[in-house]
Amino acid sequence: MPFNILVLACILYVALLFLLAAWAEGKSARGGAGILRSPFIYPLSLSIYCTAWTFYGAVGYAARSGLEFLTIYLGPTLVFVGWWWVLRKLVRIGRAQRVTSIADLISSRFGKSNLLGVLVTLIAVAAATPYIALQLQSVTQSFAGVRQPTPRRAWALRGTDGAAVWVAGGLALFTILFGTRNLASNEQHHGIVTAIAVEAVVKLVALLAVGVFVCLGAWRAGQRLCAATDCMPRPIGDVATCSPARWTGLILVSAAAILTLPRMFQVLVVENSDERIWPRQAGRFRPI
Amino acid sequence: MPQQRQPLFLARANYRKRRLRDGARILPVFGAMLLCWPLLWPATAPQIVAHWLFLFGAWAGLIAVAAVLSRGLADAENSAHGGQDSLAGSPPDDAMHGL
Repeated sequence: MPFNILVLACILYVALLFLLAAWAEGKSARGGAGILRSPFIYPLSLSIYCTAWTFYGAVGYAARSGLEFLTIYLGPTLVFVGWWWVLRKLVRIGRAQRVTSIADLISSRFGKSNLLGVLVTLIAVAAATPYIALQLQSVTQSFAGVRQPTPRRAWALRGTDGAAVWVAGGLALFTILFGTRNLASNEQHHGIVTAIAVEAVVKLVALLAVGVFVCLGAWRAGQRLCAATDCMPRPIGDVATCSPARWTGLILVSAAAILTLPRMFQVLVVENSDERIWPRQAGRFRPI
Repeated sequence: MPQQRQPLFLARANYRKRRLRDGARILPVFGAMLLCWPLLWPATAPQIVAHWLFLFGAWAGLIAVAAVLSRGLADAENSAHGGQDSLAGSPPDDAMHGL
């Protein structure tokens, strides 16, 4: 694919997300908050659990460990199936205590302790920074993978770090425009949620495309390669190859992650405009 | 002449709502046990297909049951808010103390 077309497609996609977010923001400013109560927008925005890195991480994990990759999604499934136990109460407490972040929630359980809030924020920032770096790396790897190897004009000279800087700049601009610019006591950002929902559809299609490609194309090509070179394909790991402690531990960790990751807490609790939305969402989480 | 059958409970809707809540509480526990069930299978033969089918079937089943339960609960909550089922009253909600 010519590099210019790739850049053009990326710019158009980002422009579409900006326009959608601006439209949703304007609609909610005019009192049309009903957009968040749509039966599709909110559950789609929960797909933020699957980040840009998931495209590489989950596929690589599945190829490397077989069924074990499912544990990352089984834990969240259990959390959503058990919405009555945890999520409903979390949203109710979040509303009652006017909680706007995970640090705020933990500090509010200890008398709104500022010190505790600062400590949790520092831990969240320290943990999230390498995670954001991983996301940027996945984007630059995508650029590097798609670009043509032969023409070594402008792009190749600057390397992939240039793309990371541009993407980080775009993310910061998006955050300022649709996040921090709006000072709302409930910290709800309808524009961001709508953009995430649209992005979820794109990610779902992309992951399905990888699945179809592997099932129909790469699998047969691998079989032919194995037949030609007289090698044995490596067996895919099943549950028996995974230790019970690891299996249950990963399910527990992923269940905790979907509740405590800062971005998940923001979407699950803070952006939730109506607690009664949960009965309608409990069956909608899909491990994409 | 057959005697007309009387309902055993007067607050039938309230009873149903409580049982649905019980179901919603027990479902994640049941789901966790179900998803760990393949660990107990003997690792004598490669059972990759059986594991795949079991896990995806359990996952789909959990989602289906959760959808049925949550739909029933949403209807029950809506009817309770509408004042149609206020005979026995709702049990005190422990949300603020339960976490």
